[in-house]
Amino acid sequence: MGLSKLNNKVIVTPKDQMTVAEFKRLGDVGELERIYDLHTGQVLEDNQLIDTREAAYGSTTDWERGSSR
Amino acid sequence: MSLTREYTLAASATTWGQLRGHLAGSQAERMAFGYCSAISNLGKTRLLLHEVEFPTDGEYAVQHSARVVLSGRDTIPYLIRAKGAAAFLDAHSHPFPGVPHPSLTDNHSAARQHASLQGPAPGAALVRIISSADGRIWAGVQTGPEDPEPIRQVHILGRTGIEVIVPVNSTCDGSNAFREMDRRTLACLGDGALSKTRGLAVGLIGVGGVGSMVARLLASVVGELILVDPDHLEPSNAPRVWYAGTNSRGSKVGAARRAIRRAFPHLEVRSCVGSFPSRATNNLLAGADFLFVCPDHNAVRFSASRFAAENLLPLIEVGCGGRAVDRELSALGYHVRLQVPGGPCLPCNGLDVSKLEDPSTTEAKKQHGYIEDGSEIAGELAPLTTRAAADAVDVFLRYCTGYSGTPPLHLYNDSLHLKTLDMTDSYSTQPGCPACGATLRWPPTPLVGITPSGHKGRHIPSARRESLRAPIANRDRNC
Repeated sequence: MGLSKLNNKVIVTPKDQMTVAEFKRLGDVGELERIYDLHTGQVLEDNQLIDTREAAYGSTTDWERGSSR
Repeated sequence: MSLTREYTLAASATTWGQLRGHLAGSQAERMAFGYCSAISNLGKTRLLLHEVEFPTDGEYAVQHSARVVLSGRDTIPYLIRAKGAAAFLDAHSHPFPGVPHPSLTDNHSAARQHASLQGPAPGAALVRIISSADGRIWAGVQTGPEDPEPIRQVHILGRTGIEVIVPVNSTCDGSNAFREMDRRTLACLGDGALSKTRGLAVGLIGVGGVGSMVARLLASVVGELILVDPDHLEPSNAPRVWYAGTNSRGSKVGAARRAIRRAFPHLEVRSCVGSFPSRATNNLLAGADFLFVCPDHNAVRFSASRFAAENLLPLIEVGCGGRAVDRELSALGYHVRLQVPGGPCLPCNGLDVSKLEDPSTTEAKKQHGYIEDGSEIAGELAPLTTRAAADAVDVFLRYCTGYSGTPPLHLYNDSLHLKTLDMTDSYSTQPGCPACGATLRWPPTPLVGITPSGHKGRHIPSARRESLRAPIANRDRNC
């Protein structure tokens, strides 16, 4: 079992390692969001395995601004 | 109980000029980002914009006159850099005239952006600005997924004056209900200028001979006074301290507050009996937009200079005194110095930092008969302290309103020869000065170490530095 943070929220994971896509689902993060390593800023791809033991990740999505709507 | 906070955004004229120039420089929408620290007291939060960054037009995934998109991958460097920030600035342009207002797209994206910000900067707020082509801005602070709270005013601090922008969504409309007492002041300053000064909270360190008169002269033109002084009244204060009589007792700030409230019942006056710097006085002064320092010790002047530089506060410092040789006056006068972004800090503007011991140590030495400078007169006359206060408040009015030209950065009065000199051009920012020698950058550099003249500076307490980075909601402290 892992314990990691995503956008400063604690996420309990059933495994010590999982793919980014699985982690996104656990963290209730949209498919289009980007996951990155909070310490290095490295972008993590969906099929990439990540460590979920006391790791800290951030998620972000496109920043969109528009005056039309 | 209302949890609404009152937000002010402060920026140097240099930083704001970069932001304004970038957003106005294209017919297509543009984005800009920035990093803020914050200071808060009693529901008021002052956000300090340290540095702005701009994506190049080539970095946007989409960019035209009604839409701009930065891809998630390209947002990460800005998020990583926001580590430790109390707030992250997101600004974008609506490149057409009209009242700027957030669209649904803006609001949805900002809510997600705020959530993303909590990774690198837990507790940080999202400061949102939208500028239109005619120069008007909409400004709000997002602290959660709900609607943002408005920013009351934006203070842009330059070397020669302060520009106050009232965002279109501000709850403060920038005007005040004037009273009969304002008639002659309005004739000199005008509605806009008096409204501007009435929107300011002014902190005052030291309410003795000079400081008490500064408070009196400010009372009719500002919105709030914050008084700080550790001392209690003594009979010898009565000739110079206007609110004191020969039998007055109690704290100076308490007596000053009561006297000012009697004369100006509508003025907000807060006070703290305490030495500056200290946790209590620093927290109370966190509610100020402008600072006066009228102490009797250079260590307090130096600390105030660093506090003001760190918190992007304009500062006016006043000192007066005289010297005698064989009981004959050899020097008599005062100085008024203005410290503002883009100008020299007090040490670069002539403040002697060679004896920065704690004021209590100096007092103990005096009590034990150790006199460092026997020629210094241990007192002043009321005409001198009153003139010093009058010049200081005039410099304040010139800086805030421009009513009679550019304010001097250093006035020196030679009272023996009835001369007042503008020494502005005699001093300048020293390269490498930690307080004024560089543009405000992010993350902020702690103001410690060696000043340009080679003297050791006093530390801003580390607890104070940490408090600048704490989440805004945890910041309120009462004196």
